[in-house]
Amino acid sequence: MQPRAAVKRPSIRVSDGQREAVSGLVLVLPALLVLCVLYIYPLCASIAGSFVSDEGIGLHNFAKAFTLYGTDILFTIGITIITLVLVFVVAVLTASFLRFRNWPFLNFVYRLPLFIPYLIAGHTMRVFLAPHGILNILISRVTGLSDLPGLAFSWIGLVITFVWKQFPLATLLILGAFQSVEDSYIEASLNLGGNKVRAVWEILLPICRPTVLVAMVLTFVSTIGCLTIPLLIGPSKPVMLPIDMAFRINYMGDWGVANALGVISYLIVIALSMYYLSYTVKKEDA
Amino acid sequence: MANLTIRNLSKSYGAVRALDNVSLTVKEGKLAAVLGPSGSGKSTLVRAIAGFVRCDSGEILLDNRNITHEKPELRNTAMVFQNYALWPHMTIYQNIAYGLKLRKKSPEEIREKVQWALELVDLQGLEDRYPKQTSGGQQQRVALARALVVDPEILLLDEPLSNLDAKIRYRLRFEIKKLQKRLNITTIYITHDQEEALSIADQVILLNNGQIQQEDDPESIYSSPNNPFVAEFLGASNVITADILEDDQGLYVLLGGARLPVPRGKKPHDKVSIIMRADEVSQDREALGDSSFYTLKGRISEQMYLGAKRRYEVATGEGHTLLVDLEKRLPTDADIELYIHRDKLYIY
Repeated sequence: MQPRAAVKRPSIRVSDGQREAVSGLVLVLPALLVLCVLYIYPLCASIAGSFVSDEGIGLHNFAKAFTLYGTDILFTIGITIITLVLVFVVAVLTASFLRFRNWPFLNFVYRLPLFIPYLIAGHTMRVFLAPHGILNILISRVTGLSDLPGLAFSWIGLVITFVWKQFPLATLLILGAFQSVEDSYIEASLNLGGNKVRAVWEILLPICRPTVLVAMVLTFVSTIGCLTIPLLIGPSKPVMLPIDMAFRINYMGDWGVANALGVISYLIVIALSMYYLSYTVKKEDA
Repeated sequence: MANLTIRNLSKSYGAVRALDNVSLTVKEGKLAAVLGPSGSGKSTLVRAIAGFVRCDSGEILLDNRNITHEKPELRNTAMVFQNYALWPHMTIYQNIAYGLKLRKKSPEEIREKVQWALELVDLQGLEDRYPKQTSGGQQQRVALARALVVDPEILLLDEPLSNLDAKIRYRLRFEIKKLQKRLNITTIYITHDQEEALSIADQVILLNNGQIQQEDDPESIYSSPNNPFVAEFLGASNVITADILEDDQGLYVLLGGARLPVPRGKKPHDKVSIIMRADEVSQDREALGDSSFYTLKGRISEQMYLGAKRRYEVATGEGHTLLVDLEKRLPTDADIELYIHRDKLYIY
């Protein structure tokens, strides 16, 4: 008797690649859901809402936003850029100092503002920079001058507070990048006649440029979107955009203009992000 | 170009003496290889000359200029680093031109000097590439060009070939030597490779535990090692510790049945180190001519094929094991008689 040939049953075979794709999707699904619910949906709703007003669908909210808050838009951009520049300078100076010299005290102290909430930071600076605040008392005692103007509730006080609150994170990132650069790169510069300032400017900063850019983007985004600090220490006029947005919603119930202001903030951030992305893509291509 | 003089240089890192009273002189236009195992202090020495390490005591002089406390940027030394330290954001041209820009040379002069340096290391046409677009050997040449273009008084090479494969390393070794001779530049060459040091240097300085063990020309240091460490580091494959014995004729040591003399100052039952190279032993008595030699007897216990030669382990009657390299094929367990020139057997 001939043995029966084995009948090949059709089977559903899952390849390794498919299995990996499914398990990958399952792993990222929770994060993706959170992102969709808490970021993408509100963002889309906000963008859509910015085009809807009592007059119908159009650019009315944007026109109103520019008419009413044109100065505030410029003020917001100005404060954010000044903060960005000062944070860059202070963070690079601090990181450079700590790259060349191990000073545990400074290494600890500069990080402290990271752990102070925005509300406390704003209030602390209000007390510190008030007309009869700690700073003016100290200056009066040292110089003998009296009736010094307070820096609280002015753009200067606002910038000082932002810089104080924002530079530790930027320093942390930049210092990490500086420390990852091997000593020999700096020594090669010194060996050929450079000094430490040149080594930072011509060697460390260009090598660490991607990290520095990340630090600056984070500083820019968290400054332009901050409500608490401008509310607590900023001037009453002009104000930063988040205050205007809160005002339109809380006192006018005007979500359309608030959304338009939000979209404008986004566009400002996107302009910066585009620069960052184009830079990193160019670098990767090279 | 300058004479380099180091006097009583010491540097400690906590309890570790990285440099211990090091003194040496390298004459103008000479290449001195600083040789030693890891942790011997050779990198600390070259970094001290460059100014990256502040020493506890001692002096460093370039001709008569005391540079011990000068900042690195003012010393006019140029260093080639082990990892080359080419700046990745600059092209090869920019890397080489960097030192010239710092010296405020005119753009025309910079262009000329960079071209000269590129020709010197045979890298014309690569000036617009970034370091990562070049091979390891090319990067090493760029680092050399960057160092030489600023006309340094002294060139410091910190294990410049250690990241390259053996073939390229061998070729570049001679290129560096040729360049050094052509430019007549005083050079300190750090290496842990004894063959590299012996082949390239006018003067070899052997360091261990921060101290100079021996400083001599390559042939002398190889043929007349000062102590067991030097002999062993320079390739002696047999370092045998033996007891001193005594009879009516005086003190002696036994190796393979041969009666060897004992260095002065030793007492009975002291230990001595007997050092010999595996390739200096011969089976052919005639080949040694009329010179005086020792006859060592033993039995082959193991063997290994090395290509042109075979390495044999020979067990002596005293319980020592000798490594010998012979061309002839011999059976394991065979009794063997070996001859070695008296001057090639070092006893300490």
